[in-house]
Amino acid sequence: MLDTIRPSSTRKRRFPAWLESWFTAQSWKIRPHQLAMLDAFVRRESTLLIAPTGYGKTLAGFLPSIASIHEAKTKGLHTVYVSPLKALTNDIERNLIRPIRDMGLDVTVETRTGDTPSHKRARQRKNPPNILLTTPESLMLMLSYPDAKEIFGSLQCVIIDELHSFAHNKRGDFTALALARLEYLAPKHIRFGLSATVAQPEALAGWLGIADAPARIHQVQETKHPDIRLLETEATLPYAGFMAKYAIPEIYKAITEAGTSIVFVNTRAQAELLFQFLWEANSQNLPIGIYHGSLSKEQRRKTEAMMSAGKLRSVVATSALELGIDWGDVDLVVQVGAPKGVSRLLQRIGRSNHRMEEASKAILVPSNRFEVLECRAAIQAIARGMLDGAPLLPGSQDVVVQYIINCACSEPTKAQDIYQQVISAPAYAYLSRHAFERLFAFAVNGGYVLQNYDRFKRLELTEEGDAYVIASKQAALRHRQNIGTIVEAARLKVKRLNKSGRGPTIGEVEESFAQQLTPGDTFFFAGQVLEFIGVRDMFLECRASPAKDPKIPTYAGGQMPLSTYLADGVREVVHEPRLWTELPDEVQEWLHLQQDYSLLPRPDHLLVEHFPRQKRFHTLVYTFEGRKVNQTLGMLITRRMERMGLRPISFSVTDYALSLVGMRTVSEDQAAMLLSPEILADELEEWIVESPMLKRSFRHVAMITGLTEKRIQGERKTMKQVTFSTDLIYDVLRRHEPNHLLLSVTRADAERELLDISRLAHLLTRYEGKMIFQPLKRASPLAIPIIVDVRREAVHGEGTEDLLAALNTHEEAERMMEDVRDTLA
Amino acid sequence: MTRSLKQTLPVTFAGNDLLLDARGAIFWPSEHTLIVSDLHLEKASFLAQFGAAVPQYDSRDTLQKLQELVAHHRPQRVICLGDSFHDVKAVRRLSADDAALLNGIVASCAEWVWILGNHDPVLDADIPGIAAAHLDIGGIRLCHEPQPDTPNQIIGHYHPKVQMRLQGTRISGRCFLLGESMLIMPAFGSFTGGLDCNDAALNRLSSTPFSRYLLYRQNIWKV
Repeated sequence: MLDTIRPSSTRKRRFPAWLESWFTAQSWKIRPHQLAMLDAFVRRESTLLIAPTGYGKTLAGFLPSIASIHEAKTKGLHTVYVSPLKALTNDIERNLIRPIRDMGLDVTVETRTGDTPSHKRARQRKNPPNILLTTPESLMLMLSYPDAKEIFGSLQCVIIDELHSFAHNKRGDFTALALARLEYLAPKHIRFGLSATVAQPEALAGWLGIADAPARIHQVQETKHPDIRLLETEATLPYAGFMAKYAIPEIYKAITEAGTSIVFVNTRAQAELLFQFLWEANSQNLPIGIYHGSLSKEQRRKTEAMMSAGKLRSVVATSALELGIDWGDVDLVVQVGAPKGVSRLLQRIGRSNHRMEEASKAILVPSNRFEVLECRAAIQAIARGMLDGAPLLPGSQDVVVQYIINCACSEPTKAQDIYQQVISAPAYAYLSRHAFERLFAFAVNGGYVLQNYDRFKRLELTEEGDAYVIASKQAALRHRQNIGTIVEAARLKVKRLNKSGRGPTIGEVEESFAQQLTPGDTFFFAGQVLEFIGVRDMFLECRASPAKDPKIPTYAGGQMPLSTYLADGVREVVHEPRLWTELPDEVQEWLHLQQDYSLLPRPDHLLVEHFPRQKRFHTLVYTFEGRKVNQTLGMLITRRMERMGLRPISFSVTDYALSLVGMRTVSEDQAAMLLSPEILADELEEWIVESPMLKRSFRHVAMITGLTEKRIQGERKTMKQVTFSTDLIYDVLRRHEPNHLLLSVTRADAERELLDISRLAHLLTRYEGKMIFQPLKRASPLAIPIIVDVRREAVHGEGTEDLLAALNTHEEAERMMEDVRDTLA
Repeated sequence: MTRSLKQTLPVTFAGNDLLLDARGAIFWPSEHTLIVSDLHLEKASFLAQFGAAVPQYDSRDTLQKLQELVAHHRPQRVICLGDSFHDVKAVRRLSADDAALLNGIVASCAEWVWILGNHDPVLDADIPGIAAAHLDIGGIRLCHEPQPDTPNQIIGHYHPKVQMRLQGTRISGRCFLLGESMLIMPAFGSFTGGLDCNDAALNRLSSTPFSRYLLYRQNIWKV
């Protein structure tokens, strides 16, 4: 039931006098939605509260609990608050303890996350606080202990914050199961979800509820549309690239004119580079900070504290800074690089201006001409009030395995009981009993056909023989150390050494980044230029470097997929010259050039360009369907090209187009064959099974189901012996037990996370017979940004073997070749 | 059944003609000898003891591949260059079927030699074939780990792997490393990881750079 309240409404609510006097003392007025939540608690109604940032959502979530605990003088755990970010819970704790202390209430609040020291954790289990602030992983960990029933039995309320940010991914599935367990331990509790504005509130409300009983929705309307504009610039807009270096002077100017600003970028590498550029332009010596997930905890805390205290004028940040934390007086948000989605953009913009009555202010800075189109489409979408959203997908099955083991660590566990808990979560309502049994079998001993059952067991039967428990302390420890769904690539800690050879750890980088460095190379990190010394003991050692231009370019590129709506928006803008008048001059010129030299992509046709370049042949397919779809299409088409003897070498994708590179020309007829929808039937099946995408999925599934370990505590030298690539396991499993559960789960996972098959199918059928083939002598203006993108996906086929063969005959040569920009600019 | 140059590449080492098989083995025609290294049989079951739910098909997979190799080259003698078993108790963990498979392969050759490695310094009495710390043939020493002051040796142990970029494409795979006085074999076992050929441990073994022979998609390439 959708319940929309306008701020001027004046229905009476249950609002204790002592609470009201505190509000009055702050000169605050209680908001209607805060009153509504107080009411919902009394009526025991699980509720999803949807409100824009700055509307007092968090307080709305907690007031009922605070009031209830105080009035009933509750002892023991009353409310669990779950948030996706550790930093958020720290922030909330601060914001809760203040009013509680002001009002002199006997309400205890504590945080528990991965950062909480063990003595504190032990104390929390013995003597739980009234309100526990935690993360999904820490919650699941607490649920794995035998005392879970004692601790959570008294639970009356669960608050889930920033629901929109993780309800539709594996972490959301994980959280859903944790909630299902709480439902089993404390059947009478209710759930409150707090979310930013989303496109499909009903879906979220469903997620929040129990299967067949969605939560009630309370939606607060935004009264003011944000003030968003495209950066006006004197500089020339580049064709390609993701750095927006051209805009630095104007971005800096905007920062100086604002009180406090946040400059959002899409990747960590962009954050580092942009920060450097801004520092070089920082003629007024303003305090500017940098914030992203790879910085050390200490660095991040320092920046957070400075922000809260108003000591920073601006912070360059990735999405790590996106969620909830109250940064005080931010009055400007600068989004550098295309936003990739309307909802995400709105959430970022929502960071600016927490005062409800004033409009948030934001500036969009496109990195290149293509991004201008996307930014424009986003501004239009916001003006029209249209939101995009990721669909809620069925729950991922690997998480269920972890859940089963988690339960078995806590108490003797019967399959049928766990099954009931799992399917009570709406995300898993689809799961059949049979499928569940297979998952259970896997949890017990791997479920392999060829197996010596007595040799390996994770779970074993109790003496009574009717339930399972964890088989050993070791297995329990191993499980607890690997709880969670976030699978990170292997990382090295970065240590900046001073002259004495010692120094602080300033953050982490992926192992793959370290592997490309040789001693003496310089690179950006944590806002400084560093010189690589070497890797020792899982540490990347470096020292400060006076160099200005680091040797290693950290590549910058948006990793997020383009939402459907924006893709359509961009397609629309490109196609209609009368819509170009609002675009910067060079973008208009670029599009005109495209119109003259080649063709403009039309909404009802699929434009395919083909041209030679540096002894190779490029085929450009302008789908405007987003990175995921283009990636899948790229893999399928290159397989077909292989079959047809066209010798593909590589392909690269952007959100707008797919660029294929091969050793042979492609004719119009051949192109039509490559794009036929049958590709989904024949090729997809074969390709999926062999694709590297699937291996990547398998890697994640392997870690989440406990097949391999994410982290091996304290083992360094022996790491090589104990771990080896999951790719090898995948190959062997495929050969010897192709129907194994892990492979089918991997397949389902890959289809859901990576492939976007249905969107691709829609694309191919829509354009069947409607391809426009445009052979050209050289790259078109529209193609340039795409072909200069250095990140290419290799095709492991004869094309690659040709390259190897060339090496064979030219033994001296082992060249690295970089794509060079054409000089049309 | 002939194999193309891409599948079996001839090289000369210490004055002997050898064939490097893309499946990760050496065939020595004049000696009718097949050499493989680092099978690490029963590695998965070893890990299982520590709670890893790893599928235990690695021995079968490895043995099936070995069987194919033997059937193709029909050597009179097979030499396994060490770390054939992941640990000293490994052979006891072989399933009945896999043990039968192993025995069958060994029985099909006139001579079978297990060079001892660091993982299997002792050979279980149940294993058919003979054990040796090293073997000297045709002026070449065959052993598991490098020995000092030895002019020409073929060794295993390092599981070398190549990772390279070729015109923007990333290629990686197991490899042979061929030097003036040392030839290092890739690991044959299905669950064996690899050591990057640029690693300091490998650079120390030769004063001149190794030639690299990459195993990629059923073929072998000099890179």
